[in-house]
Amino acid sequence: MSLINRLSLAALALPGIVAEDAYAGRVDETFSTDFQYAHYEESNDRMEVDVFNLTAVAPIGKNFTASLDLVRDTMSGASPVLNVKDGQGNVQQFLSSASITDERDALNASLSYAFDDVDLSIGGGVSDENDYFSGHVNAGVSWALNKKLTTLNLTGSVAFDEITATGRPEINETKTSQKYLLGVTQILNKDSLIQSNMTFAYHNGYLSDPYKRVYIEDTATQVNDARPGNKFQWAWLTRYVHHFKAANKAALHADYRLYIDDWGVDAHTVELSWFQPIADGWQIVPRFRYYTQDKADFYQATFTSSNLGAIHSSDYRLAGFGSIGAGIKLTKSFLMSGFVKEVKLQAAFDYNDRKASYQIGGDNSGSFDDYSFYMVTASINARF
Amino acid sequence: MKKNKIKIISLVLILAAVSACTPVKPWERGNLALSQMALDADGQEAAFRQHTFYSKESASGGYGGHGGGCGCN
Amino acid sequence: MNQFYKKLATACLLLSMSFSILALEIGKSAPEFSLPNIASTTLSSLSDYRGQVIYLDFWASWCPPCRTSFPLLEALYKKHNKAGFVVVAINIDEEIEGMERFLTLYPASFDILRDPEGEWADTYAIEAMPTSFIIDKSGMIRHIHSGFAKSDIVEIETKITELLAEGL
Repeated sequence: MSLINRLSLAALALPGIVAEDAYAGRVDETFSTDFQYAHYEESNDRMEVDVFNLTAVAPIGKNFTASLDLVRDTMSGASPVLNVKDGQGNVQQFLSSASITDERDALNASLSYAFDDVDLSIGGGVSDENDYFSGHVNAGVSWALNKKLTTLNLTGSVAFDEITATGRPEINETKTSQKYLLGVTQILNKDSLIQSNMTFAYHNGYLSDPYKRVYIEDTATQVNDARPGNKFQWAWLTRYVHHFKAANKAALHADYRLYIDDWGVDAHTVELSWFQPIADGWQIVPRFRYYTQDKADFYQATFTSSNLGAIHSSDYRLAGFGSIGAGIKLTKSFLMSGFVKEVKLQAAFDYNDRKASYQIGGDNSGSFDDYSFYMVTASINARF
Repeated sequence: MKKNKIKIISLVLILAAVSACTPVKPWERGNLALSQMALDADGQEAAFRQHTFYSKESASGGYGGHGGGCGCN
Repeated sequence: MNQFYKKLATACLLLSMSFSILALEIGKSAPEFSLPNIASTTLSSLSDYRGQVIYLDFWASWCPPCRTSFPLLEALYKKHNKAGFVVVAINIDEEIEGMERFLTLYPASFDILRDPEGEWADTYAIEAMPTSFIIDKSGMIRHIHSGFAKSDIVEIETKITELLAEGL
């Protein structure tokens, strides 16, 4: 019998340990609605996206919680199609024409049931745009142990996607994905906690980008992006939060994620944020992000007939690069005791610079696919 | 070589965590209950950020799960 | 290597486990506390309330179910106070400002005591926030309630009226 099992039994045998009336139920009996507007914009007249997101959460009875989430994305602008080599042998990125506006609508719903120490949830959703449809279902369990100092989390989801492409009627493909998360959240002491999660994802089907191509130098021809028919991804994220009472109850959040997939991409992500309360109900949150990734095995900026192979891609997202980002967020919370319990206003601005030269240990293939982007978000949240 | 590096990193993290472990009584969770201490304070913003980054980068995953906070019933 | 990881994980779980040897049960006498009352300069003790039915509540400003409970307890207190019912709410906020901000939003006319060190929360073996004890006229614990949901007030009122009908 394992040590943990023996101790649990011993605890039950100690005198005076009595199970109180076990009152199941979730903590928050409030209704909440959140509305967020977000804007994403890349440099050099590339892609621009506007996102509207509405979320509502309602308690049902003593144990159930239901939530509904609606998203509308509107995208426009140019995106990279392939890289070519000019007369001098320099690589240039070629973009699509910036005329199409694409709209995506998504709906997600979930239902959860709270026992005393266990929380179960199921959910599903769909996402639809003119050339891509995705449907998914998910389930999860959360188990609080140790007087709720330790929480074990396990979730799984399955998605089924249908892919077509404007201007390529021959593309009528599908893709299935499975994702699993296994993690633990542990309270370390009165002022800090740590969370560590591992996720595993398996994808099968059409994984290429139907709008991207690769350039073959010696023949000056182009062929379509062709990626493997399956992909395995592994990520390990660790998040640490620490409270600084002396700094007016500030909190430091530090995250590190290690990512490895079987296409040859290794990536590291570091995110730091500092939540600083100032004056009554206001918080200012500066944040910093560093990301670095290795290129995929079958990625090359341009190809030759001899190294083309059956699998090939010049997608800038599979290249070796690093990204440095910084941002700031401001929030104001109003607490009340009437019908409305709390109203929160939030606004944030973030800037990210993506460069091949920012990669750690890369071969710095050049700046032809470097770009930057900024994000602005604004939201209003209310609890009843 | 990579597997050993991962084992060493995880060992260091676990040791650091264990050494900082002290039992926290249910009434001592005031600081942990603050909104700035929550892992998921703004779900909509987190979803937007993660969607943006995995659309532009290869890496994705890791996020999710409950825990921390006031531990109330 | 795997065995080693298992042992480290259990070490952390063990370190964070704590068991109260002197756990309380229904039928035991409520421990005699003595704490400062925010409304006066004197201390309030459990014996001050002997002969009345007591709803003893351990609460904090940072606990969401406490926000639900206060208006309901205030109404219950006003309704049954003349018949010999009191609410004694022991606040365990480390800092008094948190408690004061809470009370501006959710004012209470019942007794509020301060236990910032959590000394009496420990003695009463609180396992979750909030926890309340219904104590009868002779000082015996008759009910222990962990957590708080809006609908709980019905059961609480039933117990209170039962105990008020009992003699000393």
